[in-house]
Amino acid sequence: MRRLSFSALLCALLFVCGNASANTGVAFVHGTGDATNAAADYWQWNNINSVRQGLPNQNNYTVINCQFTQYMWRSGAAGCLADQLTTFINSKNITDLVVITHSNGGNVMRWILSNPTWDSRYPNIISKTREVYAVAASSLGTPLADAVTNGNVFEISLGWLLGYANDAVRMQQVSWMAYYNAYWLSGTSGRPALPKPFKNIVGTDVESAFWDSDSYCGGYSLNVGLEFTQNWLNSCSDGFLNCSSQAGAGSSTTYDWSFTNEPLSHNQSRRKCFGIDVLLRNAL
Amino acid sequence: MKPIKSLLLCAMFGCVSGTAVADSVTLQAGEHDLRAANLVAAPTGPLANTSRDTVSFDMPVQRNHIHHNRQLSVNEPFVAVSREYRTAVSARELNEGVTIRTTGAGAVVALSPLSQAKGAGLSPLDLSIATSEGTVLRGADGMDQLVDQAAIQATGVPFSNGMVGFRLNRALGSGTFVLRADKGALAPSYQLHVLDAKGSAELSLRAPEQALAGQTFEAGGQFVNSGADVELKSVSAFVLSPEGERFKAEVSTRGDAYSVLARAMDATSYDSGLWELHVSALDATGLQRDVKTAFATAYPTARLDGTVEREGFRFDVGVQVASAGRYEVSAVLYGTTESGSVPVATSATAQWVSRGAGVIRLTFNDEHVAGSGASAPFSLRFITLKDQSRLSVLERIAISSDF
Repeated sequence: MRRLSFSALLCALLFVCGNASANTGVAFVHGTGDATNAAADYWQWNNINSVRQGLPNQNNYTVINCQFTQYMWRSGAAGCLADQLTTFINSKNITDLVVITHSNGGNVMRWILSNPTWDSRYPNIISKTREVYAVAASSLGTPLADAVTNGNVFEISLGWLLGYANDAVRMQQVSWMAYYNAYWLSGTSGRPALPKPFKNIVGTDVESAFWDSDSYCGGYSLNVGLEFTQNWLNSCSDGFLNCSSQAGAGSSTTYDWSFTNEPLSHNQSRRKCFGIDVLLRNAL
Repeated sequence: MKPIKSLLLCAMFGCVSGTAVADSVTLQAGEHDLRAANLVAAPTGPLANTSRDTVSFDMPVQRNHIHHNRQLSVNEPFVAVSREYRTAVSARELNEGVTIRTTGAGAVVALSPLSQAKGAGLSPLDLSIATSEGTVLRGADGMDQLVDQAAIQATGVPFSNGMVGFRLNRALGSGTFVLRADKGALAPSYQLHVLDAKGSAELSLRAPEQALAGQTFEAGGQFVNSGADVELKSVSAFVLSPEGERFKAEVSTRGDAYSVLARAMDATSYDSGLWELHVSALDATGLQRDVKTAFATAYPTARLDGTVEREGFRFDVGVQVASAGRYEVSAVLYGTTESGSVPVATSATAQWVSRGAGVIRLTFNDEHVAGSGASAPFSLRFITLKDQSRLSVLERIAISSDF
């Protein structure tokens, strides 16, 4: 009995010591696009500053700036992400990494998690990662990418003009992601699990009513266009992505209605709108 | 491994599988296996991965991380379905009126100038819609969700420059409409893109997800319209390379169905994206639908030679290689619990392999296996061989023999 008590005490001490010794950090991973100042341009500082309040050391954060116009495996995408995460982990001695991704950033992170042998930096990143919060992830692609990547009679001669946006957009066409999910990416239904939890946060609708002040969060004009783009999508979508795509990979899914009365559009879910910052802060 | 841990493992496994007795594991043929036939040396070209580092990774499977907690399976091939089409219209046609046929209410219409000229985009307020009865409607009477270039660009969705769009007023239902530029079109020509999202007419396309480079493959689909008889008037198809080159494909039709015979062309780069097959179909009533799907091309540059030497949970997997490159072997270790066969751990190793015979070693951490609570019989599943240099999945075998 005495021995058991001692063991319990030791375990409790170890648990406390273990938590105390963990050095938690958070990385913000942007979506499609070439970012040079994603903190200001993509996530916005008030959002980042709110989320990082959940860190024991609020300096342990990094905002990734990579070329997510490239295919996910390329050096400017996953290679750049691996580079910046490795630098962050090493410079801050991070042992407990939480990665927050938005949109296509989830695919690039999932490439690293799914292909750990691709790059000698990947295993260490995976081992340090506690979990990924994939906000509005385009895991199953989006019909909008198909819509803007014409591929019909025009685009060979007029690709610069019509639709051929960049490789990352091409990659997020629905049939493309079906292939990559079936052959190169883990975590979708029927495929091997990802090595770390990949937790989806899903935006379910777009509001653009001018009389509703909530429509203004993230910019009213953004949402007007998103209502139009929603025609390519299902009734449950964030204006960019179907809910099914946002929940298409990973281990758990949180829908916006579970933590706010307002739906999160695609552009709102990367900003300080309707309490998503608090949700992420509390997850740290 | 420390002696105390070894003893613990032996206690858990009865020292059956954790012992260092070498034996062989057989890869069993399965119905949905992906197998490379005759090996070929791939043409030279830029590679996607040229790293010479040997990288191994293994981890326990946390079963609650599996999506929807489903067992591993081979997914059904993707089938593309489309309710939209695109066509080029000249300024003159647009000024005189372009016919739009829909099969559902609230079709979406987008117009994009086929010109770089500034100001070539139209204002959605300068467009009108005429019904089949000849009633001309403007603004909210005929359209809603009118968006101009600024509203579209603000979304971040990369629609083309100058695009304007609207949704047909849903109260108008479906049928034939005439779209007209009342104040005259500003560009020589436009792309008209119609999404009949609620429509009953749709075109499907199924193609292989991977095709062997240099060889022909079959694809096909159907034009359906809510149970109505559909007679295909014309169908055209082409293959689009990752670099944007087009190659014509042969098409044959029968009633509402069509089949395509296409050729997967040789690659010029292995660091590019997928190929696409595009099909455009017109039925006898004038309804048009366009559909596309993606596929990969692969050279069978390597294969598993069938030998898997096992020592404990370490496996030496034999490979035959026709083109030097960075190859990965991965597998999921399954074990047995009271609830049946369950995934225990995954392991993968990638390394540079020269032409000829090679061995890639997979190691599953004994502690991961012990921590799973699973015991023999074990098996390897989803044994996969990838060519990381050329972004090809070469072989995938469902299951090995038990051990």
